[in-house]
Amino acid sequence: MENLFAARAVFGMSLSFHIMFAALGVVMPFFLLLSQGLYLKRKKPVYLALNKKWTTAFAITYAIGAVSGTVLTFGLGLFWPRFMDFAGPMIGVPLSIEVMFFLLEAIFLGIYLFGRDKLSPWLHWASAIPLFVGGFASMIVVILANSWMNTPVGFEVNEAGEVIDVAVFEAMFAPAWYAETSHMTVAAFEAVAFAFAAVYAFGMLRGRRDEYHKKGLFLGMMVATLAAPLMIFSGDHTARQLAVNEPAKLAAIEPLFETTEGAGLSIGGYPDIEAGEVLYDIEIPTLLSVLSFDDPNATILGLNEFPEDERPDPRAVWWAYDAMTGIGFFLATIIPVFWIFYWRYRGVPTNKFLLAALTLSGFLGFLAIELGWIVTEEGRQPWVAQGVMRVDEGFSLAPGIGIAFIGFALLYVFLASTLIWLLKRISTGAPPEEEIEEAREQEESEDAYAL
Amino acid sequence: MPFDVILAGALGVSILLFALAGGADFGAGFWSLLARRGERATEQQQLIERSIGPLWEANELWVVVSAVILWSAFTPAFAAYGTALFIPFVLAIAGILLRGAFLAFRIEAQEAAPKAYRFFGEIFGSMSIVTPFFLGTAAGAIASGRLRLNENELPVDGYFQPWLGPFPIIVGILGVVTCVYLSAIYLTIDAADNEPLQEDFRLRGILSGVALGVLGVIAIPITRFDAPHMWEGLAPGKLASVLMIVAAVFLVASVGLLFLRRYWFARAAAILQVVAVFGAWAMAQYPYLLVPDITIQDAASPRSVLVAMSVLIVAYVVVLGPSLYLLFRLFKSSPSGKEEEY
Repeated sequence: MENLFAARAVFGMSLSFHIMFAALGVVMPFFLLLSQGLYLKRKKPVYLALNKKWTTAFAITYAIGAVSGTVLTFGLGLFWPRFMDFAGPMIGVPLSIEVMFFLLEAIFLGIYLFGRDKLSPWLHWASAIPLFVGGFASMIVVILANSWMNTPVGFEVNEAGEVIDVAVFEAMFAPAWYAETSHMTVAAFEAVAFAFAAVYAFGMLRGRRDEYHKKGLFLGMMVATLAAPLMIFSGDHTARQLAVNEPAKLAAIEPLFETTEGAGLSIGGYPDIEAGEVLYDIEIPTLLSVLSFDDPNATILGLNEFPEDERPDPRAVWWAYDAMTGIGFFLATIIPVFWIFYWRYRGVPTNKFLLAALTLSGFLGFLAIELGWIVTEEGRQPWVAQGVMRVDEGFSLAPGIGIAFIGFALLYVFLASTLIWLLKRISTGAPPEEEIEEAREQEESEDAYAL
Repeated sequence: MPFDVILAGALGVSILLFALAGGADFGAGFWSLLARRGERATEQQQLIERSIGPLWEANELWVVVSAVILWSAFTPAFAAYGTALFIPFVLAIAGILLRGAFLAFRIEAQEAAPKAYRFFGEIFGSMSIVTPFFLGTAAGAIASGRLRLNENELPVDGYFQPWLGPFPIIVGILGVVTCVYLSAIYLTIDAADNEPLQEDFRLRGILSGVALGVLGVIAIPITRFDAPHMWEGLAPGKLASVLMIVAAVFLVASVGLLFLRRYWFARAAAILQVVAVFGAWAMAQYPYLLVPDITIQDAASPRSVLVAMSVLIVAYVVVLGPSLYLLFRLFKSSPSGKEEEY
């Protein structure tokens, strides 16, 4: 197997595996804080039952996130040593900060997981705050490293191409940083919130109607309701950033072949590379120019503007971009529908189609994260650091990368299937404590009648 | 102020912390693999889980700290290791991936899937040996001078020769046995409330301590002919050689203290033994990050990055120090053996 292909395959696979657990690792502590906080405030046992279950699930998903993250850390040196040799000083600093926050999260995970009986309830709740902060901050800084790859700045090279000086802060906050970090933050919250809602929607679809499922679904939708509309703004902001800082990527995802004044927004279709045009698409006139620069006559650079060997292939990204945006709008549409039903039926709706749509959205949110990641990475091709280093200058020359790729592919399949199997075993519906509590409440109310 | 040396020191400390904390957790995997039969096998498994459960993720992440210091501050060394030692490092990280995942699976499977519990434990246990062995061989290859780079920074003698040799392999084995030995001693303390269990690990600690001593003696002639630079660094009269003698004394002391059932002192001696060995190694290898082709100074990143990384090291201490203190305070029992409530 060719090394370049194998290195890209093994890294693409490892990242697409890790990114799901990274998103869970950032947002699940928020749900832990939320559910336990509600329990401590309102003393309703259903919140405690949810909190305990989520804690169990988080213990496993965090572990997978931590170990797959370790693989990536080493993997950068193993699969991309020549890229790291160049970029290490620039992206090393944010990644080192990332590891600090990741360790903070790991430490407080231990405290939170095993400290329930050792700490007072509020202190135990408070131990999830550094857990959340650690996960959140580590996500932000790790994306800073990615934004440097997309818009590399803040370094000086000599004639031999060696980095001789680095402006640490400039390199850390590359032009794309704000758009990328905010976009990923909102995406993580949206995807995980919908996944939480989906778990309980699926349970309800199978006939569960207990308080546990309703509250689980409700909490998921609360968070999703905050995230999904923000995503529309964040997506818009990100596309504007592309227009200014990464025009080749924007041209590829759209796709736009010729530089156009007052460019239209193309939806769907198929980019025909030879002919240099998009076939069978729907085009909304001037919308791309409006969305990018608030000006219907603004000029948008087309792919043909870039040298032939420096163009990303639109066929690798246009579908991912369209699908991601489509999912974004679908998820944003579900929210008002849910609340209309909620208002109409005075409670968590049990409509089958709605529950099915919610179950589906649990998958779609994560799918959108993967698609977005494909867009940002494939859209930068053939560069590993935009305009500075090509992917085919960065990969490892060591033999055996192909074997490593196959080995890791098998490992990830094995891990993922074991994980899914185990999570299914754990998701047993409302746990016993909850049932006991319900029974006790019923007893009490009956006693009250008897009196 | 030589920031490169400070960061090389921080790199050494992070590897040491990984060995003392994460390494012992890997050793616990070895003991879990052995705890199959016998009347106390289940109790031993539970002890291991209780002992490493809350801490293993934080403990293991020290190796990631080493990796990021290396790649930010000494990038060419990281690139050279990644290329030439691709095979041992890939095997080591595959071990980390499987071991961690299956430890987490196993902890949750105890209630949710008791039948799978044992199978998960076998993967966790066997992979716990793989990682320290291959990390040890990589360290051995780096220090031995077996790994030479050509002008394209590719290994002259291929991808096996640097680490498949007497010195790297004995270091790999020493790595595994050190983990196993540390773990047994830590477990005697965690088993304070169960005397037969404590006796089990006392015996195991003594045996693995003796094994470590024997292997250490075997390593001496191997170092002489397969790792000449290390051998010179450890020559009599140099501080590194004194540290090696100190390490030997602490090893004997820790085994003796185990025999006398002075567990807290035995643990302190064992930790000091590992610290002494690491100190001696670092001194003998100095100033090389890859003997004899890359020095700390050759590999150092631009000064601004070194300054930023040094500041960051201070932040690590300030942020993580108190957090770790809290974690250990909560889950590692005090000498009185009593559990505290907060």
